[in-house]
Amino acid sequence: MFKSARSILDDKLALIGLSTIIILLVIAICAPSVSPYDPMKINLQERLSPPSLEHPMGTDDLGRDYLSRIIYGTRISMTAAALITMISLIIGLIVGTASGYFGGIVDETLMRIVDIMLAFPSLIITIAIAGILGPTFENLIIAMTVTGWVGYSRLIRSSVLLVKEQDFVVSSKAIGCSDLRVVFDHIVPNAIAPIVVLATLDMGNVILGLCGMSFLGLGAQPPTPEWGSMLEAGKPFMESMPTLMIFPGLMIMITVMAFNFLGDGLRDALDPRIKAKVEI
Amino acid sequence: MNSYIIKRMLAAVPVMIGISLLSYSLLYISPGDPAEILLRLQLGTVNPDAAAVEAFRAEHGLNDPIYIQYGNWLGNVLKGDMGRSFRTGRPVIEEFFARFPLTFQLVLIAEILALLIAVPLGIVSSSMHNSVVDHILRFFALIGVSMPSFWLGLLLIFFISLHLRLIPVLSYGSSMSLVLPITTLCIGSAASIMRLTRASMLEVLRQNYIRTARAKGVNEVQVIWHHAFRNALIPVITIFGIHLGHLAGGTVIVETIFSWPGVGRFLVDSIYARDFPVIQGFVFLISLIFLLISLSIDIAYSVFDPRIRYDVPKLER
Amino acid sequence: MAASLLEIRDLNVKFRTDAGLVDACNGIDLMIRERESLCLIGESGCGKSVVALAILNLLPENAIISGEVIFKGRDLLNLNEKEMRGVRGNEISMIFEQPGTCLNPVFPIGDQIAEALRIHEHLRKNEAKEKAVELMVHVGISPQRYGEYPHQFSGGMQQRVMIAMALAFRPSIIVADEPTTSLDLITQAQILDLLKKVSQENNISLFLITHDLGVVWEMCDSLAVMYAGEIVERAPIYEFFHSPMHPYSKALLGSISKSGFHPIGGSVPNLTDLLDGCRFHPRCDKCSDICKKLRPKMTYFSTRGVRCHHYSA
Repeated sequence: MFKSARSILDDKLALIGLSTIIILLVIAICAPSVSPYDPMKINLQERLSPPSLEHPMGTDDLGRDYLSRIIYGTRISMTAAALITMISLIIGLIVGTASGYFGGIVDETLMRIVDIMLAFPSLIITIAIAGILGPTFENLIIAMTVTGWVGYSRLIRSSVLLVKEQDFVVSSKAIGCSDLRVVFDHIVPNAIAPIVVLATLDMGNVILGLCGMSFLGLGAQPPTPEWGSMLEAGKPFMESMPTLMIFPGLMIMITVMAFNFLGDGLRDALDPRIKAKVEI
Repeated sequence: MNSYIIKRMLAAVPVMIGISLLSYSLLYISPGDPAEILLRLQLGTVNPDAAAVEAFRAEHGLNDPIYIQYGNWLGNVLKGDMGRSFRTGRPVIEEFFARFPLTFQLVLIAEILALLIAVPLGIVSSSMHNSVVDHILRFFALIGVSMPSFWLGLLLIFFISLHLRLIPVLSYGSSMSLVLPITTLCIGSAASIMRLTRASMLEVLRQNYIRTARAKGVNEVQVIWHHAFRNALIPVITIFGIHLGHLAGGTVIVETIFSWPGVGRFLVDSIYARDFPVIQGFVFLISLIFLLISLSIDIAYSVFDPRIRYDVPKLER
Repeated sequence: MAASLLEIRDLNVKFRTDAGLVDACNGIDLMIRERESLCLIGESGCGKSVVALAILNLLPENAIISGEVIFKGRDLLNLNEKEMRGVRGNEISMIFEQPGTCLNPVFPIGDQIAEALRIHEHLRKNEAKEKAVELMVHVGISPQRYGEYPHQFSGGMQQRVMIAMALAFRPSIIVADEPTTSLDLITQAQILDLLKKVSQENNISLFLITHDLGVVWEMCDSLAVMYAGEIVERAPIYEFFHSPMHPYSKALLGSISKSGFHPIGGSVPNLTDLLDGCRFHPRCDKCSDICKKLRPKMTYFSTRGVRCHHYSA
């Protein structure tokens, strides 16, 4: 693990990704102290002002400081994405471990459900659920979790199956360790590497999804300073004030890229096959 | 027809039933009494009185147990009847197939273009592993997969239509109108196909049989394009299939930005209007098409990978 | 005595890795004459396969190679890629372990054999096919199986395919890297017999790499023992089995002798962090002070050589 931590630090792109994520996290946590203005404060005198020293990203159509809204948007996107990823991961962990470890009818049933979930185009099902539950940010989070866990459960199941065959698991069962103990002492730590990679890459996709849904109006509603809905709100002013559309998009792209950089780096560092090639 | 294909098709049947079940139950995740909602939507009145709701229930069989209701719905679906849209009054099936070709044309062109661009680039990138070219291509691919399609679409409108005035913004109907939505879809797809092709090629180039080919004296071009290419293409086909599978749904965002009257946009509008027959029908049909495409991709696999064609129980890799 | 066909002089291979330089083989000197069969024997991880891959320049990019590999008067390490391809398969053929992974899963085996013929002899499709069928018969595969895929063959049959491929254009030498390791005992014997038969019938030299002493006795004229990236002993086969010189060789033979199994104590040293002195000294029962300090040189006798401080010419 130390070795892979070191090779992450050697990988420049991964390092850029990691530092960007840390900066974004700091911004998200300290949003109230770093943002120069109240993101909701309407000031009609200053509507649609271009970027200036006073308002580094300008103001929107209601005169709200755009930088402050972008900063609060970081907080919203990061929190929601982390929440969705966490819940999906926990569900996936439970389903995948149960399926892989117990096998038989449990596996059969759970994997049929997974197959059916995978047979749905996930975007459509998210749209349908979020839309029918009612377009709020909370409902969007629920809808994205409904489709989010499937990938994890598959991955975890196959990791569990791999680890289960290995001698130390067989032997710890042989000396009488209980099922749950075997799972949590041996299988989970061994399956963790691919899960971390998937979760990191997934964070990026979840943010893309969240912002996309909000852009369609199926997630965060104005006046919430969420990047997707800010982009949607900035669309009519594309010609007069293109910055309203450029900044939120740029932030989404930077955030997603950071997670992709880190995820790629982690995958290269944790994938034993790639390692084996270097070490002969 | 061999046993593999038959097996794959049989396995799709329970999945199809699952899809129909989930599509139908969308009505029931809606907060509130479905009968009341449906009636309110149909009549347009704010609060239908209790007697009317009761009559509506009796009429539409909503007092029956859910599985009977589902059975009736499924029976109708099998007969090709998915009900009528509350909004337009036309049959759901008609609404779907009026829009499907528009979406289909968009996705098909975009995906084929993406494949034609991305696969050669991915191979070039992998065969020049860790060179400057590789790094540049990788970087652009990463930007491509990280770029939100809704933002890319808006940027294209901003630069190409508003700034350079090359293509009018809302030009549905002319062939020029295809350019921007296709570019938007194509860039994202091409980026992910390229990343996958590259990764898959790198994996294949590490295999022993590539060393054998080199030891035989096969030249590097042949090693890459003949020996490695066909093996590396297998996972690429999967991704291509998934992208194609989204041909009915994944374009919602693009259709919205470019006001493209396709399937996805109609679905979103129907969700806003709580037009349940359309929601249920469209979700079912879109998923069905998605399933059929992944099924055909599985079968196409067997052409590329003889190990599957002969249906060996254990795949050695 | 026949002329030298392949001569390896002072071959050094290092790998750049995250953990630093790995010294995979060091000062290798070997010689194979025409029609001779030489065996390179050693424990797993001692660098045997690296020698084999270095001959055909098939090592990965992170390898640093120095020394000479003289084949028919040319230094193979100085050839460009195109010249090298002319040698690969054409004059030197290679057979690897795990034949299953060495055959391309998506092409029929017949085509894979024929491909070798088409590259080097520029045969047309039909001619190549005819000749490939001949080769298949030669190695004991039924011609009906021409269109079948690698996964439909057993391990032994796959190795026969590899041998057919190696024979495709009458090479002067076949390099076989652990050709029977992944096979069961009976199949091993069949494949070894086949290798021996085809190399004798076609006057091909054999360079066999293995960790199995039993194989050596059956197959080879002479052998070289490799330990931790170095050749520690070279001898004709009879002399070696009769009177091994290096303590490691003795230990190897002891581990399979009739008086029972005597494992060698200790384990193979880590190639990233090699000790001073003789590389075998931590495991050697005759270890003396000089063994810990000074790396022994190869000492030559009339027919053999050994790298040990306990022998002097």
